Amino acid sequence: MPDKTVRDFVAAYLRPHRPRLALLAALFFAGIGLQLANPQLAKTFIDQASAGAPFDRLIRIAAIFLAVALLTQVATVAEVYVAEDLGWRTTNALRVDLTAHVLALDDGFHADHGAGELLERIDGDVAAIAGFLARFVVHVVGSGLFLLGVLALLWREDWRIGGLLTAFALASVVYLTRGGGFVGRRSRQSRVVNADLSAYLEERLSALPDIKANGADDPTMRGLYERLAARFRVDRDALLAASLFSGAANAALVAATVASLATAAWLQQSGAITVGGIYLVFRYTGMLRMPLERLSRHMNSFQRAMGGIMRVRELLATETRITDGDGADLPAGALAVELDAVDFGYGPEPVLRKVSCRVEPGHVLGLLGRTGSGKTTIARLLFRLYDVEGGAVRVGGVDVRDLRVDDLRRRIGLVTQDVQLFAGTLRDNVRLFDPDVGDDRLEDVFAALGLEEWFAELPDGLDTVLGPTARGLSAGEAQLVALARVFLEDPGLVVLDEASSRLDPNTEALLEHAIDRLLAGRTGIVIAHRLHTVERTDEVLVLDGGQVLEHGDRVALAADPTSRFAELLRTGTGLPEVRA
Amino acid sequence: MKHVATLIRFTWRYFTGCTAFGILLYCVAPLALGLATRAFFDRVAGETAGAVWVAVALVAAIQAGEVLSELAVGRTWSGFCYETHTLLQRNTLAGILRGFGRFGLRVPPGDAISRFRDEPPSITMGSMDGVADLVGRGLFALVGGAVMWRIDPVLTLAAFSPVVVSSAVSDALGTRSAVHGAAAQESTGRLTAFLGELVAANLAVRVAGAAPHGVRRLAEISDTRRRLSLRDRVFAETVNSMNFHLVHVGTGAVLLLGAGKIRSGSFSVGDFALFVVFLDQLTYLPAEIGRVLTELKRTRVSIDRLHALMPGESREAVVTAAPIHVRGPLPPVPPPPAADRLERLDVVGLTCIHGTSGRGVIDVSLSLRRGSFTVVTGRIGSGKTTLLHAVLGLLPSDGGEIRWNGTLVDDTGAFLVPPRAAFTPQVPRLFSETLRANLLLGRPADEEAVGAAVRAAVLEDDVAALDVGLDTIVGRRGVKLSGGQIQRAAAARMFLRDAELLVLDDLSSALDVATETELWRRLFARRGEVTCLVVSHSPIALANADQVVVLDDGRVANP
Repeated sequence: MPDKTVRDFVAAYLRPHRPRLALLAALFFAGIGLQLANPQLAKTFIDQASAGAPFDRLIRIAAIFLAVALLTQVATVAEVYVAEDLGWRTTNALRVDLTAHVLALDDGFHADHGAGELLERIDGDVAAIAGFLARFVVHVVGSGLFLLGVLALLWREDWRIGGLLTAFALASVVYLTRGGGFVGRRSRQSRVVNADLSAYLEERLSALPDIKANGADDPTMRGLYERLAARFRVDRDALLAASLFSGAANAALVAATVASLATAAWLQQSGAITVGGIYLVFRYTGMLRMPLERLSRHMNSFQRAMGGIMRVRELLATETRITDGDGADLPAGALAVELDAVDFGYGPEPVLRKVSCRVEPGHVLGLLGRTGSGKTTIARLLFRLYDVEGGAVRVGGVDVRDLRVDDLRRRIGLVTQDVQLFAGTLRDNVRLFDPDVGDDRLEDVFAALGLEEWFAELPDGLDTVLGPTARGLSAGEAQLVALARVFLEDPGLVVLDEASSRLDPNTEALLEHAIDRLLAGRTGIVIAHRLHTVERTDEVLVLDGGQVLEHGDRVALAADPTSRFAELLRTGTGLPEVRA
Repeated sequence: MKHVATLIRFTWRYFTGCTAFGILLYCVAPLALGLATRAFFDRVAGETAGAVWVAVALVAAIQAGEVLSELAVGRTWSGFCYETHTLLQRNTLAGILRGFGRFGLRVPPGDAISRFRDEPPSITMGSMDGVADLVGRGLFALVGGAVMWRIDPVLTLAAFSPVVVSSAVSDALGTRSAVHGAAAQESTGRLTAFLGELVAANLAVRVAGAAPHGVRRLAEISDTRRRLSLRDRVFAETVNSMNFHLVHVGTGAVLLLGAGKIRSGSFSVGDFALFVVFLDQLTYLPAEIGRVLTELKRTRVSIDRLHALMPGESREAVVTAAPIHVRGPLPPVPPPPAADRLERLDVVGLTCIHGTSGRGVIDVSLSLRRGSFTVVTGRIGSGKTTLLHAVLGLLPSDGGEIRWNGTLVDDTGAFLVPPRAAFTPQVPRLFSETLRANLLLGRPADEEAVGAAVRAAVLEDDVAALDVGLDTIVGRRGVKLSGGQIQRAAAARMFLRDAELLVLDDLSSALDVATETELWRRLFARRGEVTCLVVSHSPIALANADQVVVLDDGRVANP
């Protein structure tokens, strides 16, 4: 039987559905009772007929037999309905919990676990658990009760036959529940290779232009063949293990059937049992097969679900390294930003070393430096996607670790270089599924950002469908969507990670204007690889190798011929001059 | 059905094996068991002379044989199912790759993966293997029916009539069942797609604090799926259990009509036991026929759902036999195609419009001569990326032609690949493998060439700074590299193709000025060797260009 932690896990999800469980139990008992009645009626019929009972009595028994058959049908369907409903409801709840949990995990976790893999956990494993809850509960619990009923009635018929078959059933149940280790191991392997296959496809299907235009079709197929071949071997082994497992149980059942028939025939000679009684033993022995087969078959779905439950629990137990603080209050309006001797690295190599700087509320800071100098890392630390290893990051004068993560992120807006769009309407892409944001507010946002004309040109307004299936938006337009997302949040601090770097000079005005509107009255941190995006900043910070090379007023630094910033301006030949 | 037949031919040995086992398990075994049981009951009831023990031994032998056959069928069955899955999945990815240029990927990757994962089992398990079992079950109905007829024709008809009724009803209901099944599958696709996007876009969702809203939307979609799947399951179960229980009605009919005969002894207890054993087996026949018919209808839906991933191909392409390489080593990697020297590439009147937005490029013409450097520039949304994708055949063309050294190119997507052309997309994707594997992309390793490509892409310092250099696993989609490193790795990957034509989409967008300048400087040092078509706003690139193409709203603004 499942161990206690798994039982508790399942019980926690079943608890809100007690009335459904009660109904399911009632249907179970009704269905089982009806099925058990069938051979009893046949036995009575045979014995009465052999004894020459009146014709109308035999007809009455046959009519009851028919009625029972019809009622069993109704009970079966109702049982399936309630059980499946219960299964979906509980696993939907689990799927939602898992998704919420995954979305609360830190960046280190997401860097290690691909979307394909997480999808396999949240959807694939949970589907296995769904099968478990619906079918396992019906078949295993139902079959168990049915088994008990059959055995009780066999005892009632004759204690020797009852005893014989009870011993057999006990041995079978022990074998079926304890002996499946080798099956479970193989089915776990099967899940692993299938998750690997999903991850492989997810990456390739997201990279089709890279693959096609660089002539990598053959290697891509080759990679698929390798994974398909591994999956073939593992899946087949898992299946053979499972059939060996149930085959042994069936062999035992054959022995028990034969023994009980022989016993019944022997008992009949001494008159301890009637011919009808033998028929009853024959039917009931035959009926043992179904619950035992189901037990063994669904023991596999149980093993699969066990693997799924284990992995899902593991995922739910993964704690984010980013935990909520006590919940200090952030001041309203623009937020000051302060880095205080910050040390940080993703691995043993330090990425930031003793970085300190302060940005006053309402100021805009330009972050400059070579790729890998730590600019993006600073943005990640501000959002608490990671925590500092030494020093502190303060926003609005509060250490970010003292804040609740949601409170912090609600007050900071991020525009990334790669805007992630959902297959769905522009409305949902801007408000990110928040149903409380009305269309008026969204239109106000576009107006406030100076994007009325762009918005008016969209074919279906807020209903315009974006995303992978509708290749409607260019990368730049996607950034407009991202700006609108951030503006809607009304943050006190805006982080632009190279937001304007992919924009061409001609339409930059549109976006520049929108960015100006977004930054007005807010603190801004602009991570720029191009000097002209620094134009809007009040101060400039140049990073090199994770250390602050210089930090100061942009105009003053530009004017100082010995500054690194001035040197960057000079070497960036051909770039538009930074206006002093 | 035609497609199922194609699949059966593909694994015909296994399929024949499954059919043979089906005959053994569902026809021979129950026939023998019924007859042995009749002998047993007639002997215990004293209606026939002979030892009870012989009958018991017979029953034992038959059932033992059945268990052994069930064990043996596993290997055959798994070979049949899993080879078929492998073929279907192989065909699907091959079809996606073949058709990508002309049609793109029509569904989100998450949905594509769920189809890839779920459709093959729904084609084999329960439908195709059900067909194999039906042969045995059908044979049993014929032979078993004949045995029953010889015992008592009237009672045989009584026993069979509900069976016939239920199979007719389940056949009639099969169509509706397929509709419910398709709706349930669609709702699963929607859920998987949304979940996939939510997980893929987790950064955007997390930093915007939008997780609760996203999760609530997920809950809504989940609940829709619950309702549709429930409807599907209950419908299927109703049909299923009706088949099952109508047979008990058949037994009841035998009792009802046979009451007099049993009382008089003209229909023995052994005969009744045989009827019950046979009817038990026949129980599954209409259920199986109904289920297999339903599943076969679903098979069509499943093949359609796979086919939808590879538009432009016939439905046969989903099931066409092909090597699947599940045993033994993979075939050797074919040598790279011979070089094809580029003298001149002409793009004539190229038009490519996106289906939904009506945007794209219209009537674009340009010529690239050998060794030239062409820069495409223009406003946001003016069609620069679209132009590059259309030239490379990564998007369906709506008009115009591409000429390679004056010769019309038929299938651009298949033609403009290494060693003719190579590409760095605007947002390059790397794979969770080593950096070296990402650069080589299946080519045989050549350290010298890799080193040269890394230098050309100004990536050598970054490689040196990595713990294990080129052997570093770059993480999912290259997440362990910075944006600039990913872009330069993609450039190095392109340089390594040794192509005549290099196409770069906004290579500089994630690079700082110094790195970008160095990259262009190194590229210009090789001027004359390669022909370049790049999207860029970089003044350095513009200053050094042989020609500049300015796009405005999809058209060339500087004719």
